[in-house]
Amino acid sequence: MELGEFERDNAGSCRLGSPVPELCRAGPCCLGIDEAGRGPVLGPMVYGVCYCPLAKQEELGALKMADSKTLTEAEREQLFGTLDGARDFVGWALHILSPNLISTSMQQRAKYNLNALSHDTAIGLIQHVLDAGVHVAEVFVDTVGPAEKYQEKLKRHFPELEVTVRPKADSLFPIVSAASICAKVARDRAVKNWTFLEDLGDVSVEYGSGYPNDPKTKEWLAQCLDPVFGYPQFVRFSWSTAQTILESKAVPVRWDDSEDDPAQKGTRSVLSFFARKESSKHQPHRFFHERKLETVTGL
Amino acid sequence: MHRGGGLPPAECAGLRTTSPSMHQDRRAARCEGVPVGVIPFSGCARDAWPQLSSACLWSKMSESSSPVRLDLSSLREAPQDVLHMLPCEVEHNGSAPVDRYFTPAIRQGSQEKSVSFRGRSLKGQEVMVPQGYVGLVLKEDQRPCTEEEERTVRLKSTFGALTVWNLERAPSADDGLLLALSWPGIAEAIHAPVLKKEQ
Amino acid sequence: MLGSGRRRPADSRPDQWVLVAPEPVTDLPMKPDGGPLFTRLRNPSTGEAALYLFNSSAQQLFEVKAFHEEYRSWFIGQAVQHDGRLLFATPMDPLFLVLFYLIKAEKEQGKFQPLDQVVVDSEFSSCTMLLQCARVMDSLHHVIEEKEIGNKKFYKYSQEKTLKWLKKKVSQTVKVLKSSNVCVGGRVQSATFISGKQITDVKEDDYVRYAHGLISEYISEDLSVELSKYLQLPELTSPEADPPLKKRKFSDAPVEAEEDYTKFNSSDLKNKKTTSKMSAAQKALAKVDKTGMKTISAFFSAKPKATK
Repeated sequence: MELGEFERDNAGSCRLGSPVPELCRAGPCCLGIDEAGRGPVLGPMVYGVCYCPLAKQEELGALKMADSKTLTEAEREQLFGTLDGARDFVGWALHILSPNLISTSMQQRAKYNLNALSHDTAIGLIQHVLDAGVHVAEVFVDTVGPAEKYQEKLKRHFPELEVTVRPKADSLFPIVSAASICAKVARDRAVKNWTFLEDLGDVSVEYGSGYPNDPKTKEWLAQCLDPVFGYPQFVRFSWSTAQTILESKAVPVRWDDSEDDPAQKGTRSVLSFFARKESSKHQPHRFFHERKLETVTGL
Repeated sequence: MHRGGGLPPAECAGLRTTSPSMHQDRRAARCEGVPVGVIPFSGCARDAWPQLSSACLWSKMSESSSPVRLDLSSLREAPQDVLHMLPCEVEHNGSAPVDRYFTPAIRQGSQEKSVSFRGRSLKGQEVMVPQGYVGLVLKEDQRPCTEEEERTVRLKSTFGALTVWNLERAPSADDGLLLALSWPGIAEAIHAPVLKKEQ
Repeated sequence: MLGSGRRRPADSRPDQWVLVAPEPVTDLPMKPDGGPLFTRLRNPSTGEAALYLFNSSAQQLFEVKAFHEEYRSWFIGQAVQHDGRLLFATPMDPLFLVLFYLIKAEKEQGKFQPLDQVVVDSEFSSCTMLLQCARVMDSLHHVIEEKEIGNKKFYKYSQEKTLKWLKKKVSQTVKVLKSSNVCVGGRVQSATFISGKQITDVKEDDYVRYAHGLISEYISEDLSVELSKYLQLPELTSPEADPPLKKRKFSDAPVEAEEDYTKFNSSDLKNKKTTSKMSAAQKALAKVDKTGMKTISAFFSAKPKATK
């Protein structure tokens, strides 16, 4: 698994995959999707797919894929190695969403929530695999949000495919377990090899599990906080844990769409009083108004 | 000394007054430096400027009428600074580790630059200071205690360009700062001397 | 939002400014105290204080305006500045300011006087610096009648000459408006309507009216009215023309000063919240005959459009 591209620029998103096995072009395949890193406040979220011919499902079973959550990191790495070794009939693909992308998507003017982002990423991955020539017939998905709705959505996008969305799909279907291993291995490696583009000086990298309820993680967040910039891009700004610390410890920052924030109503910035200096008898020519140019009455 | 409640104008801060308006101006001068939220001479202040909130009062008072000298003595040594105009209000004046967090995160696209700030996506465009103009950052080190003394600002740094950043969408030529930059050229024509001969 | 005990440093007065100014502002002074000076003078149009800048030895005069958009701050080097304005110093014809005092003297005394008796202002004592600007003496003849008694010169305001001078100013301005592609037609620049009329139908009169409006920023209201007559600007009758602007110039009724015109300049209206109250401009648009105006979606529609 070559994550070089993501390691070089971990601000955006990155798609990578194995070469497509010939058998997967030839005959109908099952495809499993799972994600890793949805809950943490640190690091990327990864969507992974794994696919193999329907005819080879027994052989896949023999590889003993298990739900990645039940395994140690070392076990996962080993199982990924196994998948890699089965490359004549197993293929995989990943989409890595950087924490920066998660932050900016969720904080857009037209808010893009995590579920929508997740669904779109999954859909994109399936399409990517189809475009690469894989003969996908059945899709198995671990659920994000209510299973029926997600299943309908996927069926609308891929009417020719048989789609099964199930909670705990990663323990029910080996192809989904395999996908979960790919995703988790990628997430772990991306976090381990994370290079901070920010010069953080001597801030420690002991950030615990990265989950928002981990006291070690919270402590690290508070410790590495810069009053102006907040956090490095490793942190998901859109997480309420991160927001809460910012609100109490960092310099307030207002955006033109944060007027919607009830916390900011009624506390108009003092600077807004610089405007409207013109006397009520004289309004400046529209030339100035259109260009937001106003008279200055003093320094 | 500030007292709440209505005081007869002549007694405020021991000033002797000739006319109400004179008195109000003097009071404005004396009120400099009052933190936001405090309304001195509350009765009188309300009479003088009934529409203003305390913040507005501060704003008006902060712009004194004494001239401000521009000290050019540091012109030669003044460093060049890199400037970014942000699409958000940062309620702080002071140092910020721009080169540690911001500068390394800037990406150059085909048309515009991108960066994130506080986890929000910004798109930017570099803008040159108009031809024949200079960019100056002026700093007032010490504000004199009295109204009458002349103030001084010194030249802290200069700049020849700046990057204007907008939230999510790249700046366009018919909006914002890019549009305002048409002003110097127009001003020059309006204020150019009229030639003697008809053109 | 913030704990109540927290100090808010950004509330203290600004002590730093970002300024773009013409190069002559950095001309070094001859004398140690003769450097550039920011000073308040009387704005000739409003009669109120405005900030101006004299360069070294008061050779040239500049007016100071600020580009001010809400929700902006600066990174300057390794620092942040809360006040996100960009100040512009641009050339200012000192004659506009001197003219104010000439007209005042004409009203109050109506006789020939030496210039240093005319350009006097108890509220703005720095106005005397105007007489140091070389340009003032060179260009004074455009606006006055002159008498010489002994070696001394005496001046009196001449409306006739001033109107001639202002007319030339208007022409200069029209020229630059055209060469800079300033949009002088179609009053409402809303993103939802692109007035097809504006692009093709801008008349010479529209330029003259706009230029007159700009020049009026530097002269009194009375003189602006006289100039309008002198230029023979036709009265505004068509609905697409600018009712709110006209109202501003000639009536004392206060116009909504709290308007946020930036809502019109947004190029992504569907993401912005619309206010329930219509602005004066929106009400004017609602009344305007919109045949001929296209909605922006009409440019992107796949369906064949019915031509009007």
